[in-house]
Amino acid sequence: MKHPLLEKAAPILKWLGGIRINLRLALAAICAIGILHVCATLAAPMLMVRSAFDRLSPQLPINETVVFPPVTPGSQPIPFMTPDVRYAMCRYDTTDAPVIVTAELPDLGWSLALHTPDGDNIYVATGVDVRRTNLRIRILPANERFMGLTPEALGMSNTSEKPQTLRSARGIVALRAPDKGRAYQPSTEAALRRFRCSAQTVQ
Amino acid sequence: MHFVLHRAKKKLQAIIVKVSDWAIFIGIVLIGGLGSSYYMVSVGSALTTRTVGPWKTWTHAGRNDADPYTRAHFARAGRLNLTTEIAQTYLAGHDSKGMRLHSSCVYRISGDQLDARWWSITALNDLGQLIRNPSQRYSFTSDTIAVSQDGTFEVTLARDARPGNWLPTAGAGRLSVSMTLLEGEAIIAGDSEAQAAEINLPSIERVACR
Repeated sequence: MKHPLLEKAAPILKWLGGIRINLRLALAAICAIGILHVCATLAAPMLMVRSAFDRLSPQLPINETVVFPPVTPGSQPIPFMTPDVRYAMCRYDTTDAPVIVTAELPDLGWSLALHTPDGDNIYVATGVDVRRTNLRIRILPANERFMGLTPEALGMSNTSEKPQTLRSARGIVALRAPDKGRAYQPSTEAALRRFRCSAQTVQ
Repeated sequence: MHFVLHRAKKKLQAIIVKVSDWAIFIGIVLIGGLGSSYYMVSVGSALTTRTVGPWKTWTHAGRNDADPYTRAHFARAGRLNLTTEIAQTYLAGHDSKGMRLHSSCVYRISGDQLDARWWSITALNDLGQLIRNPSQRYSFTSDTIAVSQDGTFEVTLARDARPGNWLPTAGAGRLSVSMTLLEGEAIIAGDSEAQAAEINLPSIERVACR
């Protein structure tokens, strides 16, 4: 006597036995799945119209700093932007001229980061305990158009304090200040307002 | 006449079989290719993420050498992360027992002093939006949290007011908790799983549900 489960499964097994797997087609399917997987993954960042750069761009004039108000449910420019940090940002564009960024990191937890439109961090500096860190960064376009034409190279600017040089066409500079509580808010706000980002005039 | 009809029927059957074979082939390729890509981009795998208890982080977020899955994930999420060489952001959508976090429940997030120069914990809904509340409490940082004498801390996620470090969650539905560690020991330790296992992150316990 057959087991009842075996009796029920018999027609299904018979049907499965009748299926002839076309090996060439199966192999082609696996290859096609792989190709589609790679293409979809690589194309995904380009197909996303609402990246962080796209979301923030309308609020950020080119080569000007914007100090964001404390993040609240009504003023959260991008998802997962949390109110534990205050932000000052600048959307830089070096198409017409190099961009100079100056910022100070007064304490631990402060950071200055350059983000490309794809979201990569091409530069990041963090504050250290007790000591104030002053930063001066020059962002040059990715091509060599401005090589040797900087004010320092032309002898028109102070060469004793040379800025750090980075190459990037456009992106966002974000100065992040940690929330230390209500008592620290005025000093945090003042330090954020000292953040500067402007196109450098080259003659 | 009957023979012609029979032949036409046979021919039609053959065409239907061929078309259905191709339809199945294309269907499998589309579901397999796009589905696997979607899963790897939105959920991640052991190659791209690190899980510590209920917390998950993308190991190469914000880096120049980030893999395509990480790049696609953050482009899709619309987030602007600091590189993981400096800061790591962990997200939890489940409690320590694997149950989905929901605003109808009360949760206790408890841990020892975290090995980071600065850290923060924020309660959000599952879309990454802050939860509106009249007391305007959204997050605690290492500077603002009340820590007990032995260095441990507790944060309560609840709809109604609680003593201590309380983050309101009323009306949020599904919750996610974000934790950022700035220049933590985990970063100094590197990426290996053995070292990751030593990372001391808080647990999330469900206290009660309505």
